[in-house]
Amino acid sequence: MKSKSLRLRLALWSVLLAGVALASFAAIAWWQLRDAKIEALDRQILDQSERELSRHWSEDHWKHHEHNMGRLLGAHDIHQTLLIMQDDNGLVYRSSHWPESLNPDQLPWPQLEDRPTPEKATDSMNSDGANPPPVGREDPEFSFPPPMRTRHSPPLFPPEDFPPPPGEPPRLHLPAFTKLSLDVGGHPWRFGLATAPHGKLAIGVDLTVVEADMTELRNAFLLATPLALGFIALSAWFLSGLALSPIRHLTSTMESVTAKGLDKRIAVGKEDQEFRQLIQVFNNMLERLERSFLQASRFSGDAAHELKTPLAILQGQIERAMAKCEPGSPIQTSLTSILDEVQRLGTISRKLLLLSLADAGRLHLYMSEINLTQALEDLLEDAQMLAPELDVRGSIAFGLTVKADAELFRQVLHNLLSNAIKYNLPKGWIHINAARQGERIEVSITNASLGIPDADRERIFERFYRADQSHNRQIEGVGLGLSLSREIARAHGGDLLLTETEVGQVRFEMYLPT
Amino acid sequence: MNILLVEDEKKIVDFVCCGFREQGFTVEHCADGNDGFAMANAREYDVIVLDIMLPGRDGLSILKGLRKAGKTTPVLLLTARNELDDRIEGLNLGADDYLAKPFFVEELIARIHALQRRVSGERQNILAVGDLRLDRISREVSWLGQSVDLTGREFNLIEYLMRSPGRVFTRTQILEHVWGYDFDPSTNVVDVCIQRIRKKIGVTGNGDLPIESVRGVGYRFRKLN
Repeated sequence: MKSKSLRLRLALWSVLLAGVALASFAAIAWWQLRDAKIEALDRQILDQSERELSRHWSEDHWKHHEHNMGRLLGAHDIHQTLLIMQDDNGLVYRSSHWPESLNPDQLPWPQLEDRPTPEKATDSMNSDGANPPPVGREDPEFSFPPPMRTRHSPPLFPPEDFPPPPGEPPRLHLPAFTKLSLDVGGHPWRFGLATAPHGKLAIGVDLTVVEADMTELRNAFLLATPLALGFIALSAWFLSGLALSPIRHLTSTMESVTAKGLDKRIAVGKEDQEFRQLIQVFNNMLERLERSFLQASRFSGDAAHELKTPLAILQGQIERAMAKCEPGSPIQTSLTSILDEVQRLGTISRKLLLLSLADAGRLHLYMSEINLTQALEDLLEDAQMLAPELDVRGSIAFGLTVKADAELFRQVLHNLLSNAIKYNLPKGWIHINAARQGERIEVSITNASLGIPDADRERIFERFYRADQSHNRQIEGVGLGLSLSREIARAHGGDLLLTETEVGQVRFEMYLPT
Repeated sequence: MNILLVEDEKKIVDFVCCGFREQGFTVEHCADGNDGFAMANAREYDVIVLDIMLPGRDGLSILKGLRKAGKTTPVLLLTARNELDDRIEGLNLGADDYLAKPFFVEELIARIHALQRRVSGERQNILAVGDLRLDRISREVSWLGQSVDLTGREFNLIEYLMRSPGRVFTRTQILEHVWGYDFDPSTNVVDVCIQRIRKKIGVTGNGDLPIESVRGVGYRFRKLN
């Protein structure tokens, strides 16, 4: 499974959480606002009902009243209102556009209830046990706010308007209200129904305007939320980047830590409170690593060094014994092969030492003036002797000299040559060129070859890489490897490159400063 | 030739001294750095062979002291190459050559001869065995009075063999001296080179070819009676 960036995940999670929070906020705000608007409308309707029910009015009054309803309700943009008034004698007034489908008798009129004491009057405001509404629904939570009731209810219905029947104790005849939402002609309507002792009044208001407002608000939310989310995403991306910057710093430092740069440490920054411990742990780990690496490097160096004295003794004694033998005698022959093996051991220990020094970055150079022309002519000669079947040619400028470590430099040349022979074609060719190019000397060894696959071109300079994958006798022989050859070239201030050539040949170029 | 060897490893001293004496060198030996410095200061030697790791005063310190005292005697350091920074210091301090352990005594002797030639000039420039003459400076070779054109490797090889006529050199020894120790010993480059020399010399005359192969061992330059 592909691993995802922590930064990306942080940003996505932030967006998700913020999105949920924003969406819930918008939804709740929208509902609350809608409720508040409808409640305000309810209050207006109630006020109207209370005022208008205080008296008997003629049909004309109601007509006029309906005409002005919008203004009276304090909302000029309410254009559609409905009104119906009926008393005990029947219909007093009914809006001209009152839909036929809406039977006034089936409206859930609140029941008028007598209450003997004003204290309990408040309860009567609620309609309870009313007929179930034919259409729409009754707000179950319906109630008028207490201050209104206490403020308006007692003085609004003075006893002189509705005189109590004689002989009964004085009672407060309080109007009862209810409100409900109805669907009339495909539009949502809000109705306030009031029942007073002398009649019933229904006021309906078209909610289209409110709904239009709410739609506008919803659209505003729908537009603002993605914008806010985009902003949050950017911020989260930026902030997580900021938060992860010590990690990146850590990463880049870790990248720069190589076998040669184990002495690198990460500076503990002031602001990296949370990362301080990580950095310290990493630094401690580096320190241990450096110590053990140095120990390992020193060990192989020491081991190779310790081998030298016994090898020198062995080699010297065999050499001496050989000199004393009868030339060509069996004992001299076996001593020769022993000497060869001892010499091979010596070479291995030298290579080990060289590798361990190169790994530790302590490859030191014994610089001396080298006659490059001579060295390359020797190399040409070696090529002719080592591979007589190959066509070996050279174009070597006269009088080339370089400042270099003679032994290491010779090893690089031998390495390049042996590769050129090993990976040549039958009856192939080798060209060795050397010339001064401005401030530097360019040496190139080109040979006929099947070519190096593109995939291998980069890896060819890796330590222990071999195109033929044969690892037997790795250290022995010329097997210094291109990796070490390149390191040596670079240690001399030059470089070793595999250059692009036409198909069927391979060319290594070495640059050296003059 | 009078040589001072300062080396504390007794077994190395044994075969080095033996090799030197066989070459006709006079060897004085000392196993301690302080004594070595005193001896080097007190007497005149043709070449001083110094080990670096020594009890008492180390080889570099001896070298430094000698050069400071104005002694210009050629010094050859026995080093473990690539060891530490102070090995570079050796050459900077005025060592004339160094040889890495393990080494062939023959190689050490060849280096001492080279050092000696560098100091004494013309004396040893001409090497002549029988009908073969070698001029080390002009690098000219003549066989039976006729000049032979040898390449660099061929010249170095024949010069190495000629230095000890009668002595057998193994291919590995030849490789190390002529090509350097890192050269792949499994190649037949030595044999090819010998063949080329024989061919070149054989073309110019009829005399006995001076290079003999010793079966299973290597090559030697024929000793003349």
